[in-house]
Amino acid sequence: MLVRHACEPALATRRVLVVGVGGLGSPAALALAQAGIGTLGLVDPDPIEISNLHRQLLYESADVGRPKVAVAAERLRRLAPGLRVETWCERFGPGHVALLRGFDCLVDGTDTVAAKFVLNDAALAARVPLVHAGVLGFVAQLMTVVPGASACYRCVFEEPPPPEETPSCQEAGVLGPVVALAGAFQAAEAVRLLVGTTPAWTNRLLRIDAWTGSWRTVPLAPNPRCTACTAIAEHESANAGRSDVP
Amino acid sequence: MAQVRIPTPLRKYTAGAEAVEAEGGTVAALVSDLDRRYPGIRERICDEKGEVRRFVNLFVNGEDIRFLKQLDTPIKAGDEVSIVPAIAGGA
Repeated sequence: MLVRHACEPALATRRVLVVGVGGLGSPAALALAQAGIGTLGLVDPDPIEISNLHRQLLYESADVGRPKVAVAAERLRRLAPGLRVETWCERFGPGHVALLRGFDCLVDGTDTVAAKFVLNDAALAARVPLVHAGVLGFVAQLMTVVPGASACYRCVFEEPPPPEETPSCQEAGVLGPVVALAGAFQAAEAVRLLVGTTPAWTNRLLRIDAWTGSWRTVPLAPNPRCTACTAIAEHESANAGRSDVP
Repeated sequence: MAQVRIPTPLRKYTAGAEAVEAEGGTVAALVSDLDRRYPGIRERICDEKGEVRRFVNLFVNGEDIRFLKQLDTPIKAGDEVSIVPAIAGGA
């Protein structure tokens, strides 16, 4: 097990949802399984492609064509027999907010900025912490969103760019070890959240550049103009008001 | 001169350089100087109205310019300006 100390029993009852079981989601799920997480939820609509194999650690060439969530579940259960794995072979969308409420922590393994905004907004609505990462080429960015307590993804990047300005890994390439590193960092952050330790990447954006060998953080702050945070605060305020009515 | 950290998607404008120098008394002036040295880079940072694009953040010495004076944030010699765009990948 990855975590051989007092926090391991605490993890056995916890539930983590990994959205996107590709370059980030594979190493994150592996590390969480080995750490002793009780339940992993996996969401991904895609089958395994040959071009995935250099960076998506859970899969091998014989798996090409099979659904990622099915293969990932098999591998993870074999690796950690006590692990419960729940799968959704579908694309994550705004309609999945109720699903998120059944988990203690979310790991962002999606590969478009648009999907990262959808997941951020859903995490805020469900009030579930989210460990975000994005990777391109040799660069990874990480941040953690604790709804109501830290800057969210939309506080930092206010809207998605046009698709042509943010190529995906599939389009622009990515170095396998960079996603593996970022996914492992996401798993470590999820463990910190689950055992109640202060998360490392709230109100900070970590940028790792494997080409220059640099690791840098920039401080973040909640944006008072953030439409997602404002909407959630207003919704909760309205609900609080209703609960006051006898 | 300030040092400007260039993110991967914009390094095609700087011949691959991860950090370059530029000058200007404000962030706006610095972006203009950057564009003089590396033509085309401005439109990847600012929109047609001259505002910083909403999926790009600029940090001066680690401080988000949205919480300073935005494009009017002063720049002095030796400052470090980081350009941080949203990046997509992960699958």
